[in-house]
Amino acid sequence: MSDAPKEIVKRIETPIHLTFQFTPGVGASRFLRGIAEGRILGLRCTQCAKVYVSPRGSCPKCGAPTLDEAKVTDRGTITSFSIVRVPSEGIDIELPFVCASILLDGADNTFYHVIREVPVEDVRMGMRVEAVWVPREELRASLESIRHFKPTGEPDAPFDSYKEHL
Amino acid sequence: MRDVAIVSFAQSPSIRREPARNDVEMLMPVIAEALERSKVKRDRVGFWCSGSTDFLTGQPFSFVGALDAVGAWPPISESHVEMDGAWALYEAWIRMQHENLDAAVVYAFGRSSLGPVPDVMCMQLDPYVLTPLWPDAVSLAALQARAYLEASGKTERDLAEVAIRNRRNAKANPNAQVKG
Amino acid sequence: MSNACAIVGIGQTKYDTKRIDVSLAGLVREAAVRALEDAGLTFRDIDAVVLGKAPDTFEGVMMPELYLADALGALGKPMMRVHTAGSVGGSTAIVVASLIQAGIHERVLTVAFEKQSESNAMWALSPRIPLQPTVVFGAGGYFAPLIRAYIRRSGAPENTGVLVALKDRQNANRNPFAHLQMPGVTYDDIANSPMLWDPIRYHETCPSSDGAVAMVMTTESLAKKAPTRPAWVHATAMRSEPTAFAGRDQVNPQAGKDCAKALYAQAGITDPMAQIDVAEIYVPFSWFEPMWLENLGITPENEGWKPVQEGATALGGKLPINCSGGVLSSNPIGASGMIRFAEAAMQVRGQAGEHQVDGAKIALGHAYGGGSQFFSMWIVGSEKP
Repeated sequence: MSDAPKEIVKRIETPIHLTFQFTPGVGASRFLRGIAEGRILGLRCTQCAKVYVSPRGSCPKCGAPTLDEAKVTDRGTITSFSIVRVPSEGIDIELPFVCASILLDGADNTFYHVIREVPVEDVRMGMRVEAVWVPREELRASLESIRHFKPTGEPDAPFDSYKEHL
Repeated sequence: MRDVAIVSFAQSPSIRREPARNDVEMLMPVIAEALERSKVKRDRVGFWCSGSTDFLTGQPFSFVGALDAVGAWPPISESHVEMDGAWALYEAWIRMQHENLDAAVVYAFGRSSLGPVPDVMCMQLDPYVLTPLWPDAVSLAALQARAYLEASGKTERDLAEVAIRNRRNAKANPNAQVKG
Repeated sequence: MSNACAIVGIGQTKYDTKRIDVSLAGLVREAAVRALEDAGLTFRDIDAVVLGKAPDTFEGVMMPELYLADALGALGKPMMRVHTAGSVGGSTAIVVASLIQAGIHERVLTVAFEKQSESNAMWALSPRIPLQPTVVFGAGGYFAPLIRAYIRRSGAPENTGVLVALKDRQNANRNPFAHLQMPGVTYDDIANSPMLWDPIRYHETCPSSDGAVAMVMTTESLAKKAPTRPAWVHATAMRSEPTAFAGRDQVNPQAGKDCAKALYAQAGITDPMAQIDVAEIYVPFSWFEPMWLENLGITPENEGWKPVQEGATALGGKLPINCSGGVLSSNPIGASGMIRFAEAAMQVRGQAGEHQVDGAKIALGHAYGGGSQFFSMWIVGSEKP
């Protein structure tokens, strides 16, 4: 055995591969089946009657199930947004792009999606936008069936109309 | 020490695989039932605590989503242990010893069907020298059992009888998954 | 019944992007041993160990307290593991305070850590879940729209974020443990740094750090035997609300307001700006300083930017904030909350060295996590409450 000092091991690679299944849940499944048919489905809280889009099956505020379907359009208002200028792993959207919080007409909660077909500098809080869907034959049970949102050209919604959704 | 009583309890049946519901949808009726049975009003609950582990579901922050089952509004005093729910009960009990707190709700959830549990449990080991060997949880339990048999002088039959007793007891438990 | 609880030992590691000189066990031990030395104790004197950290996926070790029990001298002793997202460091300290206040243990060691370099934090924060578009991209993408909403609502001058970042970067230069050191940093360095998630600039964001922090907390009778001045817990509070619900105010969340209110009531604070001498608040993006000043009730709504513009939150100001350089300068996620709590305690112990606020007697430690939904806070003082 040698007494010479050994170099300390500072880094080893131990890759971990574990495969998990994902259960969207009953509420989200109804929503996603709607998406596969090209429509956005809201679910209404059985207690407070608020309408959730991209529902997870409960109204988080009441801890109650969201069961009844409510009509929600694929148009809405940008309540806030970020211009993303930094690349991220697993994202293949051309930089810069706008990630926005959108309040759909008929819904009471917001969700995030990408805004395109407009220069990033021109995106505003209050801007009216609509969904751009993939072609009918490519529709599937995923939010990726909506490619992005684009401006509708309508006048901006007043701040007061969405200030409760920041 | 202040006496603390458990006044109600609810659970979903243990099944091999929940095919449709997500964590929130599984928890909501269980929490509602426990509250209902306790006759304690939601606004009297001074503390909530949960136990779960992200590695079972394969998603970070799984307890954050589970909060959607609680109805945490107005905001609640709440905590979470990344451990078995028994420790959530312990944390609630500690707080009841010194806080002006009359009622607490404790909940826990786990979904073993989503991932390869024997391999997942391997992630609990020393990450540098043990995990990379991927010893699965069943094999590690077998090593423990062997060590126990050698040290105690018990037999495999003794261990098998533990299993028999538990499977038999389970026949009287409508929530048990494996019975016989 | 609530016994007094004191902080008698504090230990921090050097925070850095990659602490490849130590293993996970070596990292937590570095902080733990320093805290024990500060308290004049050894592992043998400890009754129980409580560990806090954010998601296990950050290091890829499930329930790491099991593997770390040995390194933390916890074999055969009670051990707990807390996880409340970004607020976890604070929540963990509060669990430990509870153990002492309830009379269950007399000396508890607590450690919070993160070693993000051992895994991929961006991946751990934004896993690719089927069926959902990944458009959020970690914390920056999530919080930038909230900051934009705050600016719109409050009418804050656009350079407010730059001023916060400049102050915190200058403070970090006085803290030898701080990860980001920028000697001679200027306003222009911050203002001219690239926009990442507009309106958040590069130098207005927190880094990813490896690091650990530890505290030893004891009863009153043992605190009196401690070799250095203890800090006393005057009040603790935690509040949570759901991530997203119809009509939720994410910019100024109710849970934070309620938490601060309960905290001040316990500590007998009626005018926080006047009564609190120094605060360590969880500011991962510069704009969160004015946002939390409002949420904490330190300023009226829409006026949190005013003390920033006036320099009141700088060292030497009326209410110095994040004298350590804050989360903006060191961010081992699972430890960041406890670092706030520990730095608050260091201030009232007169232990903060170059970033000490002279004569600090009452300090606030604050942490938050998730989608601005989990809050934990404490008030510590130089005198027993």
